[in-house]
Amino acid sequence: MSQTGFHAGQADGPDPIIVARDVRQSFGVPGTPGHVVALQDSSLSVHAGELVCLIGPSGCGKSSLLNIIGGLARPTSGEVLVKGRPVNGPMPKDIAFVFQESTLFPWLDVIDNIKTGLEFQGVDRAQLEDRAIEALKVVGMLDFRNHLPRQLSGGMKQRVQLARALSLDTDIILMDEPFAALDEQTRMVLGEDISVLLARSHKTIVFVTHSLVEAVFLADRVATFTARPGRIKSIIEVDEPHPRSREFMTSEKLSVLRNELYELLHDEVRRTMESAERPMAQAFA
Amino acid sequence: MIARRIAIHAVQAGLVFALLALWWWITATGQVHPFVLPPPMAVLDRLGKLLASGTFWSPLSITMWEFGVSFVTATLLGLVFGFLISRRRLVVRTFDPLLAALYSVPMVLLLPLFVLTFGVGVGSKIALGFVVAFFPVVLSTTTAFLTVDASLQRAALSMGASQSQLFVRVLLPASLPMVLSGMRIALITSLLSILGAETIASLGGLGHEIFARVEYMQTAEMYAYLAITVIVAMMINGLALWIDAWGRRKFS
Repeated sequence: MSQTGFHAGQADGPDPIIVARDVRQSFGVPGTPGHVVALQDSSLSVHAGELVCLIGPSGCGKSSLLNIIGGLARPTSGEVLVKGRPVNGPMPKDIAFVFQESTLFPWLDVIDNIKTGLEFQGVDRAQLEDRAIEALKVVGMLDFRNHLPRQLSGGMKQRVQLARALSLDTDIILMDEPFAALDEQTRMVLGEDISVLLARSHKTIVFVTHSLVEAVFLADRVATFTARPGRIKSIIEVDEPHPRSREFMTSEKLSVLRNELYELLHDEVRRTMESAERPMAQAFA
Repeated sequence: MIARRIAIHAVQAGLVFALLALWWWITATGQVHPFVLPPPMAVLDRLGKLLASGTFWSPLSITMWEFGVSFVTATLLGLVFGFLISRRRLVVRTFDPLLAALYSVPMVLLLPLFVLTFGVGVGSKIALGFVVAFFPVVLSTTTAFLTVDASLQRAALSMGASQSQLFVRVLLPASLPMVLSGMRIALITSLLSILGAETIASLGGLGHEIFARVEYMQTAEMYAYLAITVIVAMMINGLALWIDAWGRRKFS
């Protein structure tokens, strides 16, 4: 079930929708103290309709990889192809983002937030209202369409962000720890919603997370990262059809995979802690 | 809650009434010469006549013209410069400390220079009002644009926002509360500076009138002009506070 080693990044099967080839990101001038390698040469292929989770210790470069795939950051070397075309900047027709923090415009109500996103994407004015209402229905937030973001809970804000991403009708959605700031229960419910969505819509999703359970519950494949400077260490497959049920959450299968993931990550997390907070690591030893 | 609000207003009204009563008592008992402090009824009488005759319009319109021209030009230039400076970190690092240093100069000290350059009339007041209003606007605008949440900009770009859409739909509304706060400070300080300058060297305006009434020993009329000035300043300040609060409520 797990596939480790040199070819870990290469998915089998025909033409992946996202191909990242030897992507590397570093900051500062090599050889100087300010030089930081955020991401070592990493390769990853994602197929249409697949949900791939990126998981790893803090600072391992998983968010960097996501931003590079989405064209919000440029790699120092290597390249990313989306639908066969090289990524040189945001691709709003193909890729939508859901961010960890709320990026809803605080001065606009829920529906205007979504309509503004659609306008940025270049959607015809006549369609804005219908598209926004449709997306809000999908995430169950239609009743809140005239609320301001500050009047919503954290979970509701993330639902609206998800609705905004869905309304853009892209094939790919990139999610950067979208549920990290939420409580466990809300996170579980939203996770189930994502799984249902995936089963229905055939979207391709790349999902950065810190949560082992979330990764196994949601992903078709989980890419684990090494400690900084990060690279993809191995990829675990989760062979379970979407939509995933509550039973899967408590199943033996999930906990086995979760433990396997934990084994893979354990050493890396420890290494990150030892380099960052030495006294802490000693206290734990 | 309503009872509490009534109580607050009662205390406020009581204080004003007590001050008026004290004023009346001082004048009625002859503690102070009526030339320095005329009785309240005499001032009220002068105020009534002033309002009825409409003679206050001329000095009021002079002050408002000076204030309006200096505030509007200072705000427009402050907004443009603030935005341009905020575009480049290097420019911010160069100009921000300079502007902040200039902001701490008491601008009223430049009044003699302005009188020399622009004359004792309206020109010198506009110049003073302008330099007083310009710095808070340019500084708050620079900071406002610099501190717009980067994640909002990233989200907008990821959805395909053009540069002009980014400016009009994201940067402008996101920075509005801080810009409005700067404008409110500019508004009040420039009005106060202009009124002050008018009492020092001028040909007209509310400040000029207040000083001139003392020179002509018409203190009751001086107090009446003082009352008009206070009412106008309070109305302008109230409007500014209201717009500022609205901006903060709506855009942050």
